Amino acid sequence: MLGRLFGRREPRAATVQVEPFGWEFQVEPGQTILQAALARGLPWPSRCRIGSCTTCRCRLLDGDVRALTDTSYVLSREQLAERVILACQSQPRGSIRVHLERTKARLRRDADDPGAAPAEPALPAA
Amino acid sequence: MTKYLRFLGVYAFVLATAAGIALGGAWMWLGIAVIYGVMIVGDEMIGDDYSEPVYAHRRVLDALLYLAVPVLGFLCFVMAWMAGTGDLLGFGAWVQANLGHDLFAARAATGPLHWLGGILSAALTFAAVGTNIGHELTHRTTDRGAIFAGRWLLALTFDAEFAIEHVYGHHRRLATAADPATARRGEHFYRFLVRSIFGQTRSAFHLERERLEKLGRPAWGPHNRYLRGWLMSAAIVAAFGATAGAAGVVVFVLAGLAGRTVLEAVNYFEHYGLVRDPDAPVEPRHSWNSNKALSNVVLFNLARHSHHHAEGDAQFWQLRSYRDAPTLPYGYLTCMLLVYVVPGWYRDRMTPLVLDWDRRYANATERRLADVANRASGVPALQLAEQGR
Repeated sequence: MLGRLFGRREPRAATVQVEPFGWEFQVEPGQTILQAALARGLPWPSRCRIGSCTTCRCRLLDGDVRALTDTSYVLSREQLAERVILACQSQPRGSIRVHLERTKARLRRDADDPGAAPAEPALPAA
Repeated sequence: MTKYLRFLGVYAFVLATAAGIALGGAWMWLGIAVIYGVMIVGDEMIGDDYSEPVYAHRRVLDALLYLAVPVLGFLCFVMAWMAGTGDLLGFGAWVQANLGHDLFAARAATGPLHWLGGILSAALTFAAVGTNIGHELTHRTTDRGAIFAGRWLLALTFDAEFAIEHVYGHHRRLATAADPATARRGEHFYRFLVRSIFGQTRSAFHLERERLEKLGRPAWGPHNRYLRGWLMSAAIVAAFGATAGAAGVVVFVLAGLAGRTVLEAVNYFEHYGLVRDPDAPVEPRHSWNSNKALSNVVLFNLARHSHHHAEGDAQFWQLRSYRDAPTLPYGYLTCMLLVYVVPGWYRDRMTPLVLDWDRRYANATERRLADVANRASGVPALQLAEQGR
């Protein structure tokens, strides 16, 4: 009994479903949604990865997440009420379903760029 | 092993500053003389380091950062002892007995002009160690302990609010007109200094007030991190007052304020004249980068600034060199001294680099923004360049 209460539960990967694209992928314990998505090669929009630019935002439809940072600096009151989360700062608590919006502003990023700019930095080694 | 231990180098500078202040008299100038001397000569002689070592022991790297807290605490203690009148904690007697140095005589031989050197040395040390490591730690927004230690380090320069404005303001608005900490084309350093300090403190206050509003909490209360930040600095001032009286308060406040201007000198040259479409992502080209070996060792890779802004969650030991990014003309301390002493000259020195940036790095939107910036710069060479294109 005590062992069940205090013992370490085996950490489990959580499943993330992404509407309207129908993507489905696993997030390992300790990983953020964005890290897992990018590791799978999914084109999840992102820029700063420190919970500041809100490019990676999505709306939580089902389930719950642990927010690593205080998103109340960067999201509006309406967004907070609609359960908008930042993929780069969220670890799922169990399986979740989210809605990822694709706006023009977030797709134009590659349209306007010359070859002079160094390539997008890769994820840091853990 | 050396790849870890080299980051201890900056602490030698803190000890030089503390020793100089404790030796009193003209020695008070030791810290600032050693730091500028070693860094300017060293960066020129050693040159660039593009290596990107892989580190396995994160705890060692963290310890190197957190070491700043006790070491700067010790520096503050030495400052308070020398500014005060008694024998704080019996330190004078202990030094006399164990090191044979008479702190009382040193204190008696120290006049206001000597103290100017001590204050400038402490200011530079607060910035190079406190602000810089505070910056690294407050980027770890997911780690409460890091935020706590980082904000206390920043409170030495009256800037605990940096933890709000830098991450949620500066990184988001970088190289746009909305960012107070990006120097505009043609802007003189001392003009930027005032605009940046007031702009950042205003932005931090607004960001915090908006956050509390969204959460339904009162703007003026214990939840307000902006106000708590100022209380932290006030607590340090009070500690100096309690241990060293009015002289202690004057010494610390001047050192803290002068240290705050060091951050602005660095802000000035890190993004001088760069432009970006607010809707486009931050790329390595939106910072002036430097791979000067000594600057990076002493400042925990802060000079690898292009990668830092392009990927704000990278730790200091993960920062890559980006040797093709726009590059500063000199190392960090050299740029800093030039910005302070000959700001107009430094601005003109950057003109061909800025024009080169327009040609080689800017995309179509940025070239249009650059044209507007050149026209408004008041620098004839920038205005003429636009007409000639």
